This record gives sequence, structure tokens and C-alpha cells, in this order.
Amino acid sequence: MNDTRRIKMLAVVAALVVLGTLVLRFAGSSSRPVTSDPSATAVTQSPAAHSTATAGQMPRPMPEEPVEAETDGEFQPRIPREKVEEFLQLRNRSAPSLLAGFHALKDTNLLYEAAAKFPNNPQVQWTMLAQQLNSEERRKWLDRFKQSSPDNSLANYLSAAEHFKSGKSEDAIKELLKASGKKQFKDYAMAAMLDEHELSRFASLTPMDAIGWESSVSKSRPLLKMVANGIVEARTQYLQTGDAQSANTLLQAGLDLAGRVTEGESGRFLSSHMLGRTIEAIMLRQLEPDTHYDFLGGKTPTERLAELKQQARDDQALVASVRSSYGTLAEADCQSYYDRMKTYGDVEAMKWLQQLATNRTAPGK
Amino acid sequence: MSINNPKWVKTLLATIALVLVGALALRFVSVGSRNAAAPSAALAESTPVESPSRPSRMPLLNPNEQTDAEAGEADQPRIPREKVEEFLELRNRSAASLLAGFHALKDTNLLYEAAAKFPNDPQVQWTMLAQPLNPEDRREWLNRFKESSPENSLAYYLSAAEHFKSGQSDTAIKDLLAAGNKSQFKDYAMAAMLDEQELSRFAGLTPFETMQVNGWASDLLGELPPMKLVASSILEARTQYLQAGDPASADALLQAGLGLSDRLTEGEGGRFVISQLVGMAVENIMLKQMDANTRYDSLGGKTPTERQAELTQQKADFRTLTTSLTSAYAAMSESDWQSYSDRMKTYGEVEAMKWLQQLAATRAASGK
Repeated sequence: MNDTRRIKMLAVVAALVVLGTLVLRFAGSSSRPVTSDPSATAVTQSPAAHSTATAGQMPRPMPEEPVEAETDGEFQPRIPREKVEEFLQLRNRSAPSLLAGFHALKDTNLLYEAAAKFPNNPQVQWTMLAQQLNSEERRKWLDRFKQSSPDNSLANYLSAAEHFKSGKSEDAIKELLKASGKKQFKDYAMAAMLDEHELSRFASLTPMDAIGWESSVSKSRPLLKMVANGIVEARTQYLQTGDAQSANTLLQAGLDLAGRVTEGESGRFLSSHMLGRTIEAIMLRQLEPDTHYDFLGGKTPTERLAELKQQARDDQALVASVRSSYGTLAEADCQSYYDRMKTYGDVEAMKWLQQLATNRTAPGK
Repeated sequence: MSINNPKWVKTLLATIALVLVGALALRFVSVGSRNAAAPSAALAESTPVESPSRPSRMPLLNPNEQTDAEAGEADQPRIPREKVEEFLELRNRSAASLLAGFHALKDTNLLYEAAAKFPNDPQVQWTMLAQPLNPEDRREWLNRFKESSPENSLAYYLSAAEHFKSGQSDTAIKDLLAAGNKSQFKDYAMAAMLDEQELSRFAGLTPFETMQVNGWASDLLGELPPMKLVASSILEARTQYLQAGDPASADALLQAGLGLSDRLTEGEGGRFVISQLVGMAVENIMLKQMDANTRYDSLGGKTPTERQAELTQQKADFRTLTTSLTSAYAAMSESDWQSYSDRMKTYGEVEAMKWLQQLAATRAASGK
């Protein structure tokens, strides 16, 4: 392995460690209700302020008239801008290519271009909703997301989060119940990852160099936790008015949400499992701790909480056990790791890596 | 682009291979629906693998010894045997590595070694069940699969197929109904593909060559005929229930058949086009048993006639999609193939093909 490759590996290991720490911290703090307005930390310059335009209008100057991109101060893109532009031209500045460029360069101009050109594209809508938007803009993008994806419960959950945030509990509950009636729960985290991987390959880099998409994922997850906290508050109000049935319906909706986050495409990410457990734990704490419930498979909330804690410990142990393996992965193994991650998810890929390390340390190796 | 350019030649070969696979898949489904009573016969003929004994009695053969499977093998393995052996040693001759070696070399010794060492590994069990086995051995492996994977409905569907085949309809129906109550339907086709690709990368094959390895695919083809057998057997059993004046049991069987169809077209079971086509064929068989113009809740309020029209359209869409991609395959770069492969692993073949169709359209629009 040459030095450049080793440096890249180290950078990725460091990124994974930081990400893991953030995820664990996020999961640890998530059981506390959100008491402050999350928008308090919002960037004052809302990107959506520029996307009030309808399709075909440019909400922001186009790249040929660049504005200062909203990037982190110390952010150094791994892919040169000219390579990104070359890719965009090759892909005819399609929605996925613009989003990949946005994630790789953290250049919001590319996001705004996607938003203006493809306002009805659900992946664009999801990415926009992961940004800090003012209430009016957020509602506009939520309505678009709901319209473009009528079968996707995620649109309703995100809409519920916004209603809870603005104090419209009744509207939020309506959205929640609609969400529960839908089969699909689709976010675009995996799509964002694949698109950025594609751009990385085009720029002769590896998938490990593509980590910009994670910011959209990490920004969108707290919104679902906000729904869980909104449910708890609304449930308390129902109980205070003596409406136990509605309170229970809400609780079921919360448990449904926890299940959806950890299943299907979204469930391929370890962070989704942590979020799902957090939401489930919030719901479980509303129940009688030592009563057996059918919807918990006959277990008590105390027993189920213990299971969740054990799962969290198992995940932590898994992350810790494979951390040292990351740095020693051959390029072929790295590709196999990502293949498994894309097919089965983070946890299965890490278990494969753990097994690989075990085989290598077997006697005689 | 020159004919002397090896990349061009490889791309052309890959295109031809993909078109052939697609054509075979469609033919397989058509033939399957005509010949549902004996679906495994054709496969057995085309897979000259000697029926292995039970692992407890199985001698570990010399891995270097040529097997019947290899004798007369027209196409040479892409990976040298010594590279496979090196990989096996590196992986501590794990179950997954042995199966990858078996698929790459078509060396049944490696499969038998896996079967002997890891008889309780569900991937090994699934691979064994994809081979032609005598009824006694098959039942033993089915029991192992059910035991190792009690939540996996596939084990029960495969068991039901075997019971139907041996005329034990009552036992088959028990397995079928048990399958319907299980949430999981997990085959190991994707795992087999990933393992074989891993071995290929280790052996120094290019990413493009790695994506073309297909030893694993024969196992998937081995899994599907029993599903067709279950569907056709459901019809026979259903007729008997109706003749005996038990419409409730007859309807329950029909629902079980529709459930099987869903398993093959959705989720993990539906990641490959051929599985989806078999699922559609199974559904079609069930629909023909229903009142053509009655609306059913289980069909989302549609009539069987309407649903059949949808299935016909879906099949036509598959053909159109496959045809439209013939030229797109030839224009794909190695990087594009990797992106295609990524999408296939994440979303399944159909979504990957749609992505490729979109890519081709984008390129055509931009004149690139």
C-alpha cells in the first residue's frame, strides 16, 4: 500500500471514528425530550429562501456566476471542482449528479440548481428538507415531497415533525396517522451515497473518499426524533383529557415509526438502528414498565428496554472490534466491505469484516 | 473504436452474455409454466453434478482431483485453481470461501467439503438444495435448512415442493401454510454472488471481469423450479378441496400461492429479474383459478382479468427494458459497470436496469 493510499485509509478511519462517536452520542442524548426549538441554530441564510421559485426559475445564481458556497470553514473537497463540472456535463446536469456534486464539494449552488431544475424530484426534495429552511420554505418542500411520493410515509412523518414544531399538534397527529397507513418508508440516503460513489469513481477516487452524503443523513434524522417527542407531549395531553384510546393510538404510531426506521432500505445504516432504538425507548418509557403487552411480543417495557440496551452494546462492541481492521483492509477487501454494506447494511458488513479478521488471525495465518 | 481493442471485445461479449441470460430467463419462465409438473428435469440435465452423499458419510476428496463436473467442461474457469487455493487458505477454508471456490471452479469437491464441515450453515444448505439430490438426501438437507432457519419461509416452500413431488400433499400443505406465517424469505443468491466476486477480486480480475462471474447463478436457477412446482401442486390440492366441498381450505391455498408470488417479486426475494418473472408466473397460475371478473380484496380491489393484464404489461415492460439496454451496455465504461453493479446490489436488477436506461437517455440528450 503506497503512502497516499495509507493516508486516505487513515483519513477514513478517523472519519469513521468521529462519525461513530457522534452517532453514539446522538443516540445517548436522544432520550431527552427536545425542549428548545431546533431552528434556533439554523443558518440565517436559508437555502430555501432562494427556492421559492417554481420549476424552471433559478433560485440562485448559476455556477457561471458563483456565489460564496455555504461550506464549513476548513472543508477541503477531495474531488477537484473541474472534475465535478466534467461529471455534471457528462450527466447532463441531472438531479442525482447535481446532488452528488453538492455533497462532494458542499457547494450549495449545486443544490439550489437541482432544486430549481427538479423541484418535483423526491431525492431533491429529501435533500432540501435535510437543510436548514425557514418554516414557510420547509412547508413548501414538504408539500412537494408529499405530492411526489404519496405512498412514502416518510413525507408524512417529516410533515408531522414540522407541525409539532410549530405547535399544530392536531395537524401533526393527522399526518402521523396517515403515515401509519402507508407501507413504504423511503429515504434517499443510500441513493445519495451511490451517486457520490459514482462521482468519486469518475474522479479516480475510491468510495471511501465519498462522505459528503452523510451530512444530509445526519441532518435529516433528528426530525424523526422530534416526531417521537411530539408524540409523547400529545399523548400526555390526551391522557389528561381522559382519552386513553387516542393516547394508545399515538403510542402505536410511535412504535410503528421506530420499526420503519430500522427496516428496509433505511435500516441498512447503523445510525438508523440507533435512531429506531431511541424512538422505541421514548415510547416504551410511556408504558407501565412491568406490564406484559401483546404488541411487545408479550414482553414488559422493562424487558424490551433491556433488549434495546443490549443491542446498543452489541453494536458498540462490533464497531470497536472492527475499528482496527479498517486500516489494514486491502483495496479488494474494501470493495467487498462496501458491496456487503450496499447489499445488507452496515451491521452485516461489519460482521463480515469481523469474521475476515478472525480468519486472518487463525493459527497459521 | 477498434475491433482489436480488448475492452470493446469484452463489452461486446458481456452484452451478448447479458442478452442470452435475459432470453434464457424469459424462456425458462415460459417453459416452466408449460411444464410445471417436472420443473427440475431440465435443470438436472444441464447440471451434471453428481448427487452428493450425506456429509456424515462423505469422504473428503482430494481438492486437486478432477470431478465429473469438470470433465468435459467447455468453458475454462477464469480463476486458476492455485489462486482459489490461496484464497481458501487466507479465508481459513470458511463456508463462504469454499462455496465461492465451488462456483468459480465448478469443483464439487469444494461443495462437499463445505457440506461436511458446515452442515448447519444455511448458505451451505441452500447451495446443496440447489443441486440434484436423491430424495433421502434432499429431505435431510431440507430438515437442516428448516432447523437452522426457522424464520425463513424459503425452507418451508422448498420442503413443501419436495413433499408435493413425493405425493405427500397433506404434509406439503402444512409446510406451505407454515411458510405463509413467516415474515422472512431469504435465499443466498446475492451472498453467493458477493462471495464469488470477492474471490475474483482476490485473483486479480478487473472490476469489469469481476462483475461477469456467474457461477453462483446456477444455484438461483436451482431454487426456482420448486417454486413453480409448489404453484402447480396448489392447483391440484385446491381442486381436491373443492371436490370435497371445502371451499375455505381451497381459498386458503390460493392465498398461500399469492403469498409465494409476493415473496418472489418483493424484497430480497425479488432482487433478480428471473425471480420476479417466476413470481409473476406463479401469480398468473393462481389468478386463473379465480372468478375472472370478481373484485378481490387480496388483489387490491382488482379483478383477476385486470391483474393479469397488469402482469402481461409488466412482462412486456421487462422485455422492452432489456431490449432498450442492448446498445447501452456497449457504451458503458468500467466505472459505469461498477455503478450498475452497486445499484443491482442495493435495489435489485430492475432498478439497476432503469438507472442504466436513464443514463443512456442522459447521454443521448447531451450528445456524449
